[in-house]
Order: sequence, then structure tokens, then C-alpha cells
Amino acid sequence: MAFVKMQTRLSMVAACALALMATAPAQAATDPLNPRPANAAAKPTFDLTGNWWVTQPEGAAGFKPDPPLKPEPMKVWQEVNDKRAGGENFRDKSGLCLPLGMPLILTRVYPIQVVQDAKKITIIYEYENNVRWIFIDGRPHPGPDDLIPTFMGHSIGWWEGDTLVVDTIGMNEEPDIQPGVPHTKDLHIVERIKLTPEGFNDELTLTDPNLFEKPWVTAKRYKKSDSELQEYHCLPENNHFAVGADGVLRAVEPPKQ
Amino acid sequence: MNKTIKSAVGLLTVAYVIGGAPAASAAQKRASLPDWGGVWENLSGIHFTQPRFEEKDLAPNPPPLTPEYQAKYDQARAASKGGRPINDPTANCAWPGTPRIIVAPFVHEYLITPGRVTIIYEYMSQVRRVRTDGSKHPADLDPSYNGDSIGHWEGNTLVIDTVGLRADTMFENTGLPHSDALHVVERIHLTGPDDLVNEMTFEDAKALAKPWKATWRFKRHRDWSFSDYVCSENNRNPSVNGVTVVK
Repeated sequence: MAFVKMQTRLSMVAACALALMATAPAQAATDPLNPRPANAAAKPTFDLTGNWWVTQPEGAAGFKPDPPLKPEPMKVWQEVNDKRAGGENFRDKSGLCLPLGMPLILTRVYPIQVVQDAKKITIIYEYENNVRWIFIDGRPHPGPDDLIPTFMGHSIGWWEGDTLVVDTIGMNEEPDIQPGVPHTKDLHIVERIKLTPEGFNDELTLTDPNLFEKPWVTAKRYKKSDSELQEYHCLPENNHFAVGADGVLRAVEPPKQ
Repeated sequence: MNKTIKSAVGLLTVAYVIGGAPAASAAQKRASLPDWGGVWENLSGIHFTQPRFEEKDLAPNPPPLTPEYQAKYDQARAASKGGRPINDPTANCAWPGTPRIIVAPFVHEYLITPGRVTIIYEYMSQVRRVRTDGSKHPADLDPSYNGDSIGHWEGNTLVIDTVGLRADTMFENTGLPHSDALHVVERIHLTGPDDLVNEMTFEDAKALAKPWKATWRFKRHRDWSFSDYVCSENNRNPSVNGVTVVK
């Protein structure tokens, strides 16, 4: 019972803190490994369990608006856009059947399954069974000695009022953010997820001091799906696209049987 | 009911804003399901034909193959002994499929929710979805790697029934074949706070002369989490002309 009482008290504190937040700007997080603010809600505000589709009013690939790149990465990005204008799908490694990782996985149109429990939010992407775990049990990110870079990175989440905030670090440098926008180990993503009448909205703020002039703010929207996820299996030998020595992804002849 | 479950009820009472179901009943349904949280380590090895425990071989478990499939298996064993193993599709990063994934060497976890159990395996990032909502297998199933799974709870035992499996996956890496008629029944339950047993029965009208059983043991680790297992990142044993080679 003591636990329950403490929770009630904490949520009252959280409610007061939220009221204050409406007028005072949020303080900058002091500890990047534990950015959960003291005024985070004690309990989840909503449950995302279910199947979802990403809606893509801005188009199927990449993120909008364009990234605020520094001059050097801007050259790469422009080269990619030039190649694409010429019909070449430059620098897209998805043909190698590697996981897409965060945040590139968010640019795929296949449905996702979310299971939320007391400890974590598990997101399963139909695309190659890529799986993401967002820990909501109050744990911090692992320190530099323990953090092994992965495709999805390490995600922790908490609620601030009606918003689920997800903080992700530790994404490996294998996949680009989107074709032509490679990132470094310093990529940091903060997502603010809010329910909408049809599903939820995921606003992403990406920072990487090596890459961006300023934080890049973009969004993905989701709606409820009634359909079940299917098997999506990418096999290099079945692929009709391959990356050449020049880094260009091209259609190739299917292997002869 | 332990303290952990009580606090989970507290957390979940506010949940299910989206689902449309009354919050209390959804939370109650969920709290009534067994706690299989954490990840599970395989203690019994990766060969149905040779179960292990505590790093020792137990009694061999020979499959009762039909003559046709015994001949296929003998051929696979002979090729392996001759140093030219037949192609194991997982060497090219094809998924192992069910039931081979059940005995994968890396951890797995259960996400138990009303109407569904989702099982995630670290090995090749595999996912199985088991409908526990009372629905049946569809009549017109396309074969898939992990098939179509329906399940139900008998007390605290999860019973899973799987059909609709592909013929081009194997039971295990010894080349043990099965057909698309394979039917897998699993009975999974706890035998201790952190001990889980999966009692499997395989039926296959083409490959097996009679039902074949295997029992597998798993140990819970609440503080472990998954790591990436990406086959395509380090593919050194591809198949060339049907033969597995080492690069």
C-alpha cells in the first residue's frame, strides 16, 4: 500500500510541475544518460498496444522538411539528389538486407505491431522483423563503457502530461538517416508522441553536432490498423537490386535457376 | 499475487485509452495472464535429435522418419561426414522457421497480451504470433517460415498449435528434413520461478511415421536484454551450387 500512496503523491507532484511548465520554459536536461525530468509522470498516460500503419502524406521515402545540414554533409546530400534526379537510387543500403535501424525504419510503409507492458514498449516492424524496445521503467541509458551501438540504438521513455517522450542514443553508423544523410555516433533522437483522433503523431528532433546546423525536427503519423503483420523476408539472393562498387543501387538480373 | 503484479495492475488501470475497451476489464484480463517477463536462455541445445542439459548430452532422440525422409536424412548425414554438407538455408541468411527457431541458441521473450502471445527470438530477429482469441487456422494457408499459430491457456500452460510451414526449412542443422504437412504442438509452462519447459510434439504425414516428441528447458534472466543478431552483416558460409562453403 505504501507503494500506491507514494505513486499518488508523485502524480500530484507531477501535476503541479506540469502546471508550472505551461508558463516556465523546461530546464535543459543535465544528464544525457538520464534525461528523464523530475516532473515526468509517475504512470503511463496511454497504451500504444495494437497494430498501426504509418501515413505518408509527405511521400513514402525519407523525412520532411529537408535536413538543416552543415556544408560538408550538404555536398553529399546534393550529390544524392542529383543522382536520384538521374534515376539512380544512390547510397540506399536496404538492398543488402541489413536492418534499417533508427530512424530509417520509420520511412518504411509496412505495418507495425506495438506491445506495451509495465517495463517497456516493444515495436515490431513487419519489415524484416526489425524490433525496437523503449524502456519505460525508469532506467537510464547505459554509460559509454556499456553502450554497444546497435541498429535501433538504446531508447528510454517517459510521459510528460499527454506526451510520451522517447530518448534514443547509441545508433550504429551503418545505415544513413535517409539515403545521403549519414550520421555519426553522436546522433541523438528525441521523439514526442501524442495521441490523435486516428492514431498517434511522432514528432522527432534529431541532433548530431557533426551533421546538422541546428536540430532537425520532422514527424511521422500513424493510424490504427486492423490487419495482422505478415512475414517480410529480405534475402540478398532474391533481390533484384544490388549496390555496385560505385555505391549505386541498380536493378540486376535475377539469378538463373 | 506478488508485489510486481500488483504494481503492474496499478500502472495498467489507466491504460487502453486507444483500444476502446473499458480500462478496468482490459487491465484485469492482462493481470490474470502468467508473468513470463524477462528473456529465456536455451539450456537444451540446438538439436532435437540430441537434447542436452547442464552441458551434457541426454539420451539421443531419434526421429521416426518415413523411409523416403530417412533416405533424404541419410544422404544429408553422409554429405556432412564427407566434408561437403548439403545446403543449410540459414547459411544464406534464410530464416530457420518453426520449429527450428524454438531451439535457437540465443534468448527469446514472450509478450503476453489478451488474445495474443508474441514471441521474439534474438536469433535472426524472428517473431512468432500466436492468436489466443479462439480463432481457427485459415483453410487456405500459404506456407510461411513460422506458419500459422493458434493457442490457448490450460491453466498456466500455453498450448500452441502450428501449421502452414514451409517444406524448405529443416528441423536442425544436421539436415533433418520435414514436409509442408508438419504440425507442431507445444505445451509451455513454468516448472519453477525462473524455469520454463516446452514439450513439443511433431506430426508430419509425409516425413514422420508416428508423432515425435521433444522436451526443451529454458532459464529466465530478468536483467538481460536482446542484442542485434544480423546474419547479413557477417555471412561467411554462403551456399554455392547447393553446397555450404566457408569464405
